[in-house]
Amino acid sequence: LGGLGRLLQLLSYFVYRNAYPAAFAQASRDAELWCGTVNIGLLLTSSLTMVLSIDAAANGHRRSLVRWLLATASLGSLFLVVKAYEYYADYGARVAPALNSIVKRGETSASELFWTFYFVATGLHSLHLTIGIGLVLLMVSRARRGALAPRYYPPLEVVGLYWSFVDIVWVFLFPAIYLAGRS
Amino acid sequence: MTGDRCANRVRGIAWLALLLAIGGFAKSRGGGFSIGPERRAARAPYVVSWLLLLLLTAASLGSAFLGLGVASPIMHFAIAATQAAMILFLLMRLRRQPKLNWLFAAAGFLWPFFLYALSMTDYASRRGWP
Repeated sequence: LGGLGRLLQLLSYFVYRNAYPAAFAQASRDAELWCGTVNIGLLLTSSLTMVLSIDAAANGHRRSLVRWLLATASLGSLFLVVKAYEYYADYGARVAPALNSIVKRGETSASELFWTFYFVATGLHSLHLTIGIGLVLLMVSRARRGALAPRYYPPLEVVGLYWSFVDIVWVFLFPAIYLAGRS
Repeated sequence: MTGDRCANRVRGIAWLALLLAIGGFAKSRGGGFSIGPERRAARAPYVVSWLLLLLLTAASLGSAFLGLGVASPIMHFAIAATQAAMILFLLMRLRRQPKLNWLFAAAGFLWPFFLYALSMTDYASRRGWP
């Protein structure tokens, strides 16, 4: 259901981007490109460490399983740190609708639609990622207890699927938020 | 009467042969419909997929500054779709799963498709968009 919601949200983005292309392009240029780019790199890498942790569980390597899981949780946390900095910068740039926002020269109020999408989409994504980090840490404790062994590790598989799904959402948010109107 | 029974028997044998052929084909493709222990994969393909994913991100980022106009968002989302497919098949390991799992994964895309299509009928047919 969450996935359906996210996809519907992306649909609304396309509808409004099509209706107000100039405002969306202008607003997108104000988004912190380096934050988005670093974050997609972090998440793609975290999907790699996640699949390596499943590989370690399947092969019964408990120590490397814990290590890969901790790497995954760290990369996810680093994503949240970059995101928090980005929110701070966005607030300073006065693009936070209802909190600290102005219509800049050459822009229309339609750019607020972009920023509303931005905050809802990235806020939800951060929430999902926080849940993911919690689940990964739960898997760390299970792995330490020896509850994830080659004969039984489906909980880890499911957490892995969840993690990579959250990653896929960011793969679509990255061009939608940061790349529109760059050239 | 005897002719009918003979035809039924031939038909039965033909169905059986078809089912066996489908089963054999599915098995030869490494999946089949049974859910069993997964084959253990080497790590190298995961690392290669990760590098390709980063490369695609760089391509998407680079193309944003080329001034491609309308082609630009098409390219970005085509790259994003390719990346999503790579994550699904390589990092979420759909590639090595039984075909039944493929069916369930595809079903996950079917419902959003309905959602998209039905929502877009309103958008496409509405006049006087604000």
